[in-house]
Amino acid sequence: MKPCDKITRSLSAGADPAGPELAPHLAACERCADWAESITALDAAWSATRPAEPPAQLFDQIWSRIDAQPTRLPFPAGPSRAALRRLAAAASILVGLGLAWLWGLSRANPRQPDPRTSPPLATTPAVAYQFEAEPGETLFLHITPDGRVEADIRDPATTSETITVAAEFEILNFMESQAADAL
Amino acid sequence: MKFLRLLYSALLLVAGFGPPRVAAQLSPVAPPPPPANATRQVTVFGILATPSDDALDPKLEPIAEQLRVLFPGHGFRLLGTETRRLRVQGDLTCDLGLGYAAHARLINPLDSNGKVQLRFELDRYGQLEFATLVTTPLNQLFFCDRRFPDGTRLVLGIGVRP
Repeated sequence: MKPCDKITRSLSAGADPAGPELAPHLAACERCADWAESITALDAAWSATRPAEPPAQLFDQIWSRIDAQPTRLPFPAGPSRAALRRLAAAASILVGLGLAWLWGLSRANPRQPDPRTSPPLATTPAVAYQFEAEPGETLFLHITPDGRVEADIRDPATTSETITVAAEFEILNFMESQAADAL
Repeated sequence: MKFLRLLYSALLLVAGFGPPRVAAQLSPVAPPPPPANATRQVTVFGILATPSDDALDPKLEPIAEQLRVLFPGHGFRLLGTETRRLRVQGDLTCDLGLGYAAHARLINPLDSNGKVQLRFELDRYGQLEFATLVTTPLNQLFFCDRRFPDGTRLVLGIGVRP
């Protein structure tokens, strides 16, 4: 630590600038002398403005009042054992009701089966649409990109964009043979 | 003990009734009892129909004319076809690729009008997209096409033979 640092610390700690330890350095060091002057001026300002010291007996009075207080803080009276039992029972019922509710929810909304392992058609919901075709009609069900379903029944007698039952039969036979060939 | 009894009663009461169940949107249809041991040959196939592209899968050459009447201005590619003789409640699945699969279940092999009743479903990666119950005469196809935003159609054909 530099000598100037030791001097400023001593001055801040309340050492006397005119004392034999500091006076020689302050006489030779202008910076530390300025610091000592600032400290002296601050002390003078504090002495001029400090409030009056309270009388010594005031602290005794305060301590005696503190000592007169009860050692245990006033604590609200605790619940009785019966009340605690009722509280515990109510909490148990609430927990039980919550568990039962969760159990009921799990039964009402069963977890979705793994689509890759579940057998087809085994867990499917109710059918949302029903259609019936008459002989000679071709039934088209269109599922639009937004999920709507539109039914379109084409009759060869009224539209050119359909085929006869005989043509459908040909397609059916063809697809059957393709599937059989694939086996 | 009194409170324990009360607690158990409350649990049983709640468990018995539970929260309101999620009601089905529509009630499932109860078909009439089918004839015993009846079977039907069910065929399901899938074709990808692409607009403004007249490319034709060579496998579909024999039925190109019929397909072009049904879906004018489209190209066609066969995605898959399956056929099986099904008993009542028997299932048939046709894998179409791209995660899509078509399922058919024989519900009634012959109703009072001489028609057959099928349940048909389309799913993707197991997530149901569409389910329907169709009553149709034998030897008569019905089609279901899933339309995509770019105009492409996943055309599914379902037919039943005696």
